[in-house]
Amino acid sequence: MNTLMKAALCSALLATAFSGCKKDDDDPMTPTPPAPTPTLYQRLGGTTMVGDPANPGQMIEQGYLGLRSVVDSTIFVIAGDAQLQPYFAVLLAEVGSGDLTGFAALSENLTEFFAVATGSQNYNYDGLNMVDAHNSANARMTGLVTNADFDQFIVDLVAGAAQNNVPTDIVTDIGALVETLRDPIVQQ
Amino acid sequence: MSKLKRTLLIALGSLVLLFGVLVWHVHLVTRPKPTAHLANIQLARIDFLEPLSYPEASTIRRAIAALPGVQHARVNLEDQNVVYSYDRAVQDQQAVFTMVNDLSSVPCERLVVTAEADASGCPAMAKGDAQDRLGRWIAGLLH
Repeated sequence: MNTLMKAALCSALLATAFSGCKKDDDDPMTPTPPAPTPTLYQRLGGTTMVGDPANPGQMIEQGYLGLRSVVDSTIFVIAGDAQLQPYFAVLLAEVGSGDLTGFAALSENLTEFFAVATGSQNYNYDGLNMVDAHNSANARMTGLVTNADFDQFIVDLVAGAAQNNVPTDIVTDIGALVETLRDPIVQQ
Repeated sequence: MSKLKRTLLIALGSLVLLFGVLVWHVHLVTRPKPTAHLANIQLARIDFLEPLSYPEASTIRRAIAALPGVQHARVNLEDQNVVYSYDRAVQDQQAVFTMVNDLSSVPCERLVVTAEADASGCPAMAKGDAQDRLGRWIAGLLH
C-alpha cells in the first residue's frame, strides 16, 4: 500500500476514534429534556377558552370554569354543614338590593385564590393571606379554626368536586394543595 | 418659571398621575367578572326540627327547585336542612319557606342570620369600608 493510501487510512481511523469522543450535546440522537409537568390549573383545562355556561356570550378559561364550578358546589355543601356554616354565616345573610351577596363574593374570592394557587397566570387574588384571615387579631374570628373544622372543610371540598365529576387524581392533588394551608389556617 | 410654580406643577402632575393609576386599577378590578352571574343570587336555608325521610326530602328539594327564580337546591339529610339559591329579583325566602312549611310533615324553620353572626367568620370580602366605597364610586363612573 503506497504512502498516500496509508495516510488516508490512518486519517480515517483517527477521525473515527475522535468522533467517538464527541460531547453528547453534539449528538443529534441525545434525548431531549422532559416536558415540564403541567400545573394543576393546566390539568383542569388551563387557558383554553370555552363558552361560559353561566354567562351566555362570554368566554372563560376552562381551568377557571372548572375551579368555579367546584367552589360554587362546595359553598352549597358548606352552607348546609352544621359544623362549618357558622364560620360562613355571610353566605346565608340576606343583603339589600344592589349589594353583593356573600355567595357571589366568596365564590369570586375562593375561585381566584385557587386559580392562583393551582398555577393560573391570568388571575389575581387580592384578599387577605390565610394567616391574617384566620387569626384572632382579625375581629371577625370570634372562634379559631380547629383541625376538626379543617378536616371537615376538606370533606366538603371533596363533595363539591365530586358533584362536578372532577377526576380522582385531580381531587387528590387539590386536597394535597389545601392541606398545605392547614398550618396558617388552624391557629388553635 | 419660579421655583414655587415648578414645585406646584410637579406636585399636581404627580397627583394626576397617581389618580390615573388608581382609576385604571379600579377599572381592572371592577370590570365584568366570571362570577357576574351570581351578583343577584342569594343563598338561603331551611332547617327541619326532626329527621326527614329520604322520599320526603327528595319531594321538597324538587318542589323548591321548580319555583321561579330558584337555581339549585340541595338537601343535607344528616344535618336536616335544605340549602337553595335564588334570584332576588324573582323570588323571596319567605314565600319559599311558606311553600315548604305547607308541604312538609316535619316542623321546620327558616334560618335567619343574626347581625352578630354576620359580623363574625369569613367576611367573603371587605364591604363598606372607605376604600371599597371609593372604588365602587369610581367603578360606577367607568361601567
